[in-house]
Amino acid sequence: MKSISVQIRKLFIVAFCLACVTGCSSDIFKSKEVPVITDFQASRYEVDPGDTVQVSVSVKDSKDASLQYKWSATGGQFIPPVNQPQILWKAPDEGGDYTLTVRVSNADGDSDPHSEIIHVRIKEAPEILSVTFSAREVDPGDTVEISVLLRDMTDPTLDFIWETDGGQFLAPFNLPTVLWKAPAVGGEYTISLTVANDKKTSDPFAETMTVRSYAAPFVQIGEPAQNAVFIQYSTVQVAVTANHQNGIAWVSIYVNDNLQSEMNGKADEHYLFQCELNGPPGITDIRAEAVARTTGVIGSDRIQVRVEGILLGK
Amino acid sequence: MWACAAVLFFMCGDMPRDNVLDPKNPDSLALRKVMIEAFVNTNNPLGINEYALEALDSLSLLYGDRVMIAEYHRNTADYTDPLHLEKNELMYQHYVALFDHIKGVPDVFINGSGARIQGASDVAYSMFRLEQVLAGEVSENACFLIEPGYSVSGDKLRPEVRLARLGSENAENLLVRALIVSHLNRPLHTRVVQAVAESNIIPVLKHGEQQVVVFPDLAFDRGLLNTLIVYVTDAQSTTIFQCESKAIGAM
Repeated sequence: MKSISVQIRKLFIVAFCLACVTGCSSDIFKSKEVPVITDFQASRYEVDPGDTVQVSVSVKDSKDASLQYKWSATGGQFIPPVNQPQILWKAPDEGGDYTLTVRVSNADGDSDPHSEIIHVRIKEAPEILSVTFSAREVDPGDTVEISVLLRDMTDPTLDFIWETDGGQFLAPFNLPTVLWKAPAVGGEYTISLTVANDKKTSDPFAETMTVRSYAAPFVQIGEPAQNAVFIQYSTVQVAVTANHQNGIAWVSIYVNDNLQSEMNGKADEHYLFQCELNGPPGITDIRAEAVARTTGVIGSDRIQVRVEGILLGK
Repeated sequence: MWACAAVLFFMCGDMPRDNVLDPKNPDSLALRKVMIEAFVNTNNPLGINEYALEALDSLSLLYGDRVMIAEYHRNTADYTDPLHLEKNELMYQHYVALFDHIKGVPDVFINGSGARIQGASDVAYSMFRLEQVLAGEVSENACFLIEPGYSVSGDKLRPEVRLARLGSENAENLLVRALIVSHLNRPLHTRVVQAVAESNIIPVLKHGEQQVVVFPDLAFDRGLLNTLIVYVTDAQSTTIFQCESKAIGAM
């Protein structure tokens, strides 16, 4: 009887164990399977601002269930639809490194995130290296060829903006080399240029072109007045106004045809001289002479003053 | 230093009172005569001082006794003038200090510092410059009347000048100066200053009052044609108010 009882107890234990194993396999011990990203690729990893990049992800998912794609980026923007394994990302305008991240999820949860870095190139403004002129001093109506050299001449988006305050550019204008026709009136004229690409504009460039004027400089003695009276050996202040389209090289003062003083030309057209009237008494000639830059044409004005002679005292 | 006059006599005059020259008449006034003092140097070959002197001669003919001219000779940096007087130099330095021009002759002062005409380039233009100034000056009236007088003793002349204040206002701090000018019998040397004397300061000369100023004796050359010129100025000798002259009779 005892052995039968033992046998029954053994059977019960085995039956109990079998029951436990069977129950666990369907509920407690059942495993979850999330998607696994096996590949993540971008069509380009270095792009210009605003470029569009195709990004795709490959996933292993044993359950073959419907998957959700969660894309994120540190800049730029995704072009809908975005819940796809293959999407489009538009690079931002600012250059730099941007991280694109994707997570794929199924009913069991999210995959590990996967990221890739895409470098957006910084687009520089066009840089003007030099501008060359076929001539810097020309006669009225002459034509000058002007060319610009940029650090990068290959950018197809370049736009050349040529400007001038006199004369005119001959068509076509929007080129690195243009023709400028000098105006009919001599003077100093400014040629300016800015170059733009689709993003930025260069620093402005400006240079002066000289168009020769063969007119005599304007010269006028404002002081002293005609027929003014001075005492011999005294110092007289001579005020001269002188100007010319090409500027003044220098201004000279002569007393009775003897050079007294010279002054270099300046932007301000007013010149002040101190002259000593050491010549003989009587009618005395004061002449101001101005020489034009570039052409050397001379203009002059002349007045007469009276110098009253003295014997110097002590 | 100036030789100073010392003696002042106060007198009640008996001048007529029914005309504008009567000091007792509050509306009294006299024609202003113009004092021209020319500082020159004629001992040089340049001739520019002579331009001024010749112009002054012409001016004298033109204006007659309306202008009194005194010719002060002085040394310059390069030329000494034998007619130079130390007093002339003091007078010149005094006048020049009132202006900012450089020193140099000819240098003509009109009514003291009333106007300065320095330098010359020809006679005509000197005349022109002088006349420009004189045209305004001779039309003025003066509130002083001067009656120059003198007494002679040997080769000494004692100026005795009667000065009357005209108009209705008193005058203060006056100085009277007496000059002996001589005609040297040389062209353009017709009024050369030979002696100068000045009074003490007259503190007040009331309107309607007369005063006789007696100067110390001045040496003079009896063989020349001499003239006594007298003028009244302020104590600083800046402005000459009135002047008068009297020929010194041949001795």
